Amino acid sequence: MYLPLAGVEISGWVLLAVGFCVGVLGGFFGIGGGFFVTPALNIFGFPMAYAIGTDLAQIMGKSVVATFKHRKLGNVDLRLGLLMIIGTGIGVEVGIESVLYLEEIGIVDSVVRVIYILLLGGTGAYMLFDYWKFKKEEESQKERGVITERVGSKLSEMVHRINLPPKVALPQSKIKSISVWAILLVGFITGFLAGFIGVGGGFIRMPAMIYALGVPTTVAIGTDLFEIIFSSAIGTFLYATEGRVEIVAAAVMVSGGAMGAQIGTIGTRYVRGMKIRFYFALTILLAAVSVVLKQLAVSLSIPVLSTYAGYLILSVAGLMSLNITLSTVKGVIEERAAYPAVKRRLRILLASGGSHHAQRAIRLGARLAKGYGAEVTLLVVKDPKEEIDVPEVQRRAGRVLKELGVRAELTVRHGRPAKEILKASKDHDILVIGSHGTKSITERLLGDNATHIVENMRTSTLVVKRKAEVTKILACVNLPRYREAVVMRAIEFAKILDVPLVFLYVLPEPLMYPIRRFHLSSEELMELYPEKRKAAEELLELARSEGVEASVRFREGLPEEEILIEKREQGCDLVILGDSGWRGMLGELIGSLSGHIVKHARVSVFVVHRKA
Amino acid sequence: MVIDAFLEMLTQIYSENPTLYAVAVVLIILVEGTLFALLMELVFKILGIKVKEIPHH
Repeated sequence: MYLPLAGVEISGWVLLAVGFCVGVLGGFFGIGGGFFVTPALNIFGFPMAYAIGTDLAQIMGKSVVATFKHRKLGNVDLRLGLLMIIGTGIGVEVGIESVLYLEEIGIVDSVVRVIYILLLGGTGAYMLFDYWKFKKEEESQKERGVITERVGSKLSEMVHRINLPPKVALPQSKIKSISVWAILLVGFITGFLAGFIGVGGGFIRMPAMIYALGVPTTVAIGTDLFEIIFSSAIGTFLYATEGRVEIVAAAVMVSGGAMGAQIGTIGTRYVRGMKIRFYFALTILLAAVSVVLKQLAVSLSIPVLSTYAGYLILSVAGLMSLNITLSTVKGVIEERAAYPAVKRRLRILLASGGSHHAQRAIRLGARLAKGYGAEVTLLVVKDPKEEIDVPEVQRRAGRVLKELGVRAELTVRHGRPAKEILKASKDHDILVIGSHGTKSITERLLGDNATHIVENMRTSTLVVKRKAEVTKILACVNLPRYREAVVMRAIEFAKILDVPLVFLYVLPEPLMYPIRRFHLSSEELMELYPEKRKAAEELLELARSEGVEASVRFREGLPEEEILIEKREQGCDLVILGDSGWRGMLGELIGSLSGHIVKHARVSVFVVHRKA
Repeated sequence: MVIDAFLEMLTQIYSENPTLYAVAVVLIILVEGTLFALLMELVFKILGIKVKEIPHH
């Protein structure tokens, strides 16, 4: 392929391969990848100005693809990104002015290169040190059976404490409140450094968001890519006005980058945050070595060192993108092999306030989580009105989890338990809570925390009461809402807990009977309702095909009464039913069937919501 | 053939108005990126690969 503007003959496959590699690195690390593409294009014969211009154009295209994917994964904090852009824009301008000043006094080259080396080397070394520290901490956490992913640093805690209005909440980044000025300042500093050393700045911004602002690694990656679209668009525009962008080469690289970005982005799902930081640290440390070689080539007048520097950075990028691609492929294959029935791993939230019933809930929740191969979050809510020893609660819960071989991410929230649990449960598929039942008169009238949660929830909720052991499950399958989900979960639960399952049909009692009939048996009702009987037989077939021992019972009457009676007669200790009733204030006033069952059943209840 | 004609048109735009050319370059790459992003989503959908909503770490 001949590129007329740059006057270069280059194979389209080479451009595709370079684009692919930088796509993988960009999607995985949240960087533009200029440190790799510019020397690569230069080595393949592009004059430097064309290499930079074309590189910027492909970075922009690739970042659009990667940001799109990260946005779908919930990794882009638009609010943070837009605020950072303002600070970065001003910072870049000041950085460029500083370079021009240094140029005037004739020391620009050496100062810029030394700062570049210090930045790459320093950031890489610090991140490696941080990873090593984390590994040590992880070892001690393994003892407790609770694995937490560290977010933020002491610096970010200090930044969060800056009490300068206006303040803003960044829920996507899990930041409750942060001063806008702090974000602008971090944006300004990273922008200044990027402008000063003449790079896109992704390799500075990503760690800055993690360490200075306390943003989770994956969100820092997605948000950084979002910013890179803007910064590279400006760069592309400026270089294109000078005719220094080889649009065909850029377009070919974007097509390679589009595929690479998918792999890199998906890779963030399978590689833990700290591991991503480790790979990133390694990459930028080796990039620093390459810059040192370049500097030595100039200082010692040994041009061959500059070539070695180019090959070093090419090898690093190639090997790292290969490593990321293999990790992603391995992750996908392992996940598919481990959980063939579930396309995405379930997320289960185990909430605890430290009581005995919460401990029982954790035990049952952990058993289910193990069966599902679910991602587990252990939430401890610290009510300001109550004295709770959080580490002790974590330790006790950790013991149960360790015993059952379940790993959990740890979260602590402060505030009213019901409110905080409801908030946290939004990101999960199943919430597991404990309940001591309705003891006081007020609780009997208004319900306890569990009833409140069930009546306001948006997630399927398992309320565990007297015991963590389950011997028989009752699934109410003909209630109007979420019937399929109830059936599916009931069969799964029975399979995981290895217990028999009873499907219950509660049929409405006809209002107009010539003679009121009493106590029709399940068999008699089956004869009366042949269609329902056929549907029930299909359910039995389904359950048996899954290896679950199942039976069907029919009852006539009011669901809120019949479910409780059947549960007692059958000796079931877990009731599964669909969520029903109104939400919010109206729900509190009218109540719901699920709320009624949770309040009055003395056994555990699982209320299925539509997310199931 | 089409690419050649397209490149010729871009070169002509550049010689007449470099700013317009630069805007065109930026827009072309942005549109290409967006189309590729959508195409990839479609491919993932067809292949039945669902990757979404990851826990933040």
